[in-house]
Amino acid sequence: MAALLDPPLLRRLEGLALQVRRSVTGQMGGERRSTARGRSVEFADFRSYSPGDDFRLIDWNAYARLDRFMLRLFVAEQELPLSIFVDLSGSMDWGRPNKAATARRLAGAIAYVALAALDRVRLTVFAEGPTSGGAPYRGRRAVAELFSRLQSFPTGGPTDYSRLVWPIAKQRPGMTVFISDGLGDSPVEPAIAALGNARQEGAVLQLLAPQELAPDWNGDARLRDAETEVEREFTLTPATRAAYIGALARRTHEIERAAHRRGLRFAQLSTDMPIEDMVFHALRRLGLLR
Amino acid sequence: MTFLAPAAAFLALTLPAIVALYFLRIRRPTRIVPALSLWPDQVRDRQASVPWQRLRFSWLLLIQLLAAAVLVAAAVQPALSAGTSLARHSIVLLDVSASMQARDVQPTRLDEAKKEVGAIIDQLGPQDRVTLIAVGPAPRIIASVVGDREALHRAVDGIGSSNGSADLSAALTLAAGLVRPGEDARAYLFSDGIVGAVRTGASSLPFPVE
Repeated sequence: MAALLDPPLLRRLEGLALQVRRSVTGQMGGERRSTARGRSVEFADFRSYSPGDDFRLIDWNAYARLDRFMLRLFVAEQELPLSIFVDLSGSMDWGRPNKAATARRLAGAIAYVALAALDRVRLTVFAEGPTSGGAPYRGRRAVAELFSRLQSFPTGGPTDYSRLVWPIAKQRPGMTVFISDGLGDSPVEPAIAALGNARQEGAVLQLLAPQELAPDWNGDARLRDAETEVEREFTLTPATRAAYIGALARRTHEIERAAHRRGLRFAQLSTDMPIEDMVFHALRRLGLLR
Repeated sequence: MTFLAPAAAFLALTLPAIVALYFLRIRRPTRIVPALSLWPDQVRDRQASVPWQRLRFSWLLLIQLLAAAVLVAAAVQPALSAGTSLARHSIVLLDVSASMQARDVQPTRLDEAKKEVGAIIDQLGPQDRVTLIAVGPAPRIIASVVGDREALHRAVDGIGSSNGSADLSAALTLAAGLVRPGEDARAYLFSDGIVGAVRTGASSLPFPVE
């Protein structure tokens, strides 16, 4: 593990936790309020007894008053299933600092926060198609494996967001963090819509390099698409620069609107922002972490 | 100032050619961008209709133009005419009468005169022509409308003196016949002044005599 994240940062990350708005429905016990009823100290509701229920949950005081068997139900505490989607397409392998490298670190930091809080993490990287990052990770012991897995995936290829729809749709309701630049030949909106349909809450994080937010060159160039390798001649003048920046802003705005319509948080992050600032400021302000 | 090779001026066409290269030149480094679709498309349309670009100032262009200009200027061979300029057609009348053999000027008057004729020949430009007439009892044309300096020097060296008098009138008549009407001609007489009587009026000659 060639230090995806350095230990001091990991220690600081322990103080964070994912913030969920809805209650979760996990499969195993954890530390989160669940919609399910189970064992905890937090009272949730009464329910009439039906044969087969656990006698121990019968509220005998209620029986004394009402002469009926009532069950005291408690809020179950379960894990939060967190899915992390990381775009490792050709367009991400660009910029200084590199977008794909930053995406890996950001995904690692968020995954670490979840694993430290006993949440379950499922990792999926995608480019032309989705690649599962292995069985769900659970617990602090899985951190090293997740980090090395995160670093082992190659970067490159076109982006086909539409092929993410099925892997997203089959997920249990939970939390999803979607890290991508949102760029590519196919629109990212179907994937975002699928997140909403799969009752995922979470965030779409658009990761862009400072050089694409503000081109650092001038004059004539032959532009080559990082994914399709299509070339076109271009002359960067103040007018065309403004047109490009406008087009990028519109694209960002479209992605943001799509995310907000599905109840997802959205943030645009520039790779020149230190990973600490992303996690401790941007994602906290976003309400993804607390 | 004159240009000895004005035909080379056509080389000056290289200057507009260099400027044209700068108009047409498209220096395009390849840049990889994450998403080409974000880059506005209007440039391709503009480029399809206008195959040249706006000329931008560049030091390289300036230096190249300067170098070409210097080379062209050297090719046309500019020349500053030094001292007295010769006429297009110089008629040299060299007195070879017996009196020119006098040794009061070393080595002889004739040799001194030949030296001065040689000086005139050395001043010849590429377009200039010389007619050399030895003025003896019967004037002789040594060289007729010759531009070659080497040949002229050899001709002058080959002139020997005669033992008769100098018939300048016949020589001038002969010279007048060699000059085409309207030609820029000038005659140079190298003599010790002891010549036969001049019968022709100087005004009737088609050239001035020095």
